[in-house]
Amino acid sequence: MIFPGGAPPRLEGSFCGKCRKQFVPVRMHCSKCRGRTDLVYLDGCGKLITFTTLYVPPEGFMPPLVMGICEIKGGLRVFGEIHDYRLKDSLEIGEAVFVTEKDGKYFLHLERGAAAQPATS
Amino acid sequence: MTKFGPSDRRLEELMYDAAVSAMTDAGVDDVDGVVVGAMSPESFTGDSNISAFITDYLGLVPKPTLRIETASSTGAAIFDGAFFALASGFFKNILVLAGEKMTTLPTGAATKILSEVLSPQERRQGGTMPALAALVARAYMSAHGCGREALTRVAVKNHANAVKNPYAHFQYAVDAQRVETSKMISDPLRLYDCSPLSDGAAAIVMTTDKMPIRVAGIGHGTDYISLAQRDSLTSFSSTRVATQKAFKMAGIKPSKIDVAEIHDAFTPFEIIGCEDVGFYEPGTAWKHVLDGETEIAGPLPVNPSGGLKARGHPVGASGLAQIIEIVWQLRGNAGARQIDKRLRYGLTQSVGGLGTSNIVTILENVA
Repeated sequence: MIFPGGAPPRLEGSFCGKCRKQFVPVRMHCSKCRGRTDLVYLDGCGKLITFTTLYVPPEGFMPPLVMGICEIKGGLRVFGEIHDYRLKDSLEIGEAVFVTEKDGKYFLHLERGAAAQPATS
Repeated sequence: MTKFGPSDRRLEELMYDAAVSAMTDAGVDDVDGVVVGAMSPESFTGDSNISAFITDYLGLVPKPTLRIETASSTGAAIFDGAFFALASGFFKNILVLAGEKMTTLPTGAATKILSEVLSPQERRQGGTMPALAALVARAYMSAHGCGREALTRVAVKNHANAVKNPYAHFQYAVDAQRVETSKMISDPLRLYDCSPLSDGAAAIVMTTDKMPIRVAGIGHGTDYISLAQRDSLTSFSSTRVATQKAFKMAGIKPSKIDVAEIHDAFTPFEIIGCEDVGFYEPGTAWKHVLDGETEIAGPLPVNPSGGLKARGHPVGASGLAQIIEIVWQLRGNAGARQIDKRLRYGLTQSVGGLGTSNIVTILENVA
């Protein structure tokens, strides 16, 4: 099953048709009913609901590490790294973000950040 | 229990010390079984098969032993498990023993071990316990208008309580300025909002005999391993489930509790915990903290021991140390930090992982 989800960015996830529950990352079985999920593409646009800047990261990471949780359309929440750490002091709860995924990691991009940055090919 | 904090003693020696003091206190030199708790001895000290190792070290071979692990609520989980083993009728008394040795490794390595309790995706991206706690803290503070001063007040109160606790890791007071200028760990959480890495062990002998302190209620609840997928970021559903079960078993309401030990691994967790166990309405506990209600001299003392914040947090042992503090308070032998009134019911709340396996225990003084 494919959810068109409007224009990109689209996010690969799972959907339980019985519970109407969405999941990111993909999981084979629903966390509510244990039923088999379907692969779907979700609309990655949403809003930031909380964030933090970690100054004491675990081994293998460089500080400052800016991370947050956003809520995308349909109510699913996704944990990810804020794409541009330089925005750490101007983040606001409720501001518009979109989610992208690369190699199993999720990145939260600020809509204002995207608009302000020059397009790259 | 042993004093918490950096120690030269090995894990098995700390657990031996705690076990001997508990068995001496109970007046027994033998038990039917040993339930052992430790979160990550495999990673911290390279020890596995820890329950058999400790049982041997204690001179209790060939008694049965097993280990229970629920991340940072392990100490409460072994008490929970031993209670139901005793209730089965197959055991008469059980030594419940928990310990962790954390200070042998550098902080970065220890932080990484602690983050292994989080969801694979969240830790793959550098998520740590303080970082995820900070996400919860900011969501709570923003939703309920809670300011920095409430977190500070928890830290100041718990350090002040720990000054009177000879078992505490930090036996010094801190003022608001020291808390609010301490190093930023994960915004908005500063160093003094976070519990430390500690060594330590705790032990209790539980029996089916009638004793002055009885277990009135136990409840245990779980939640989704990924923080992002929880129903709420400002409350722990696992604590709420555990609370409901514990109070139903005890047959009382939260208003009957006289003293509590709440899992303040991070200062906002004490505030949220007080709401989740039913002491205060959602979003209001921070005001009661600022009013001084949770101080030792207040109407509902919370963390008279100093809490995880200042008594220290050897992860596997903290849940049992909370229960021990409540036993001492109910018995009236908590020394300089004794709450000066008749205490009937005491409660502990222990958080496993980032709220994934939470346990609420209610003890009653029936003397």
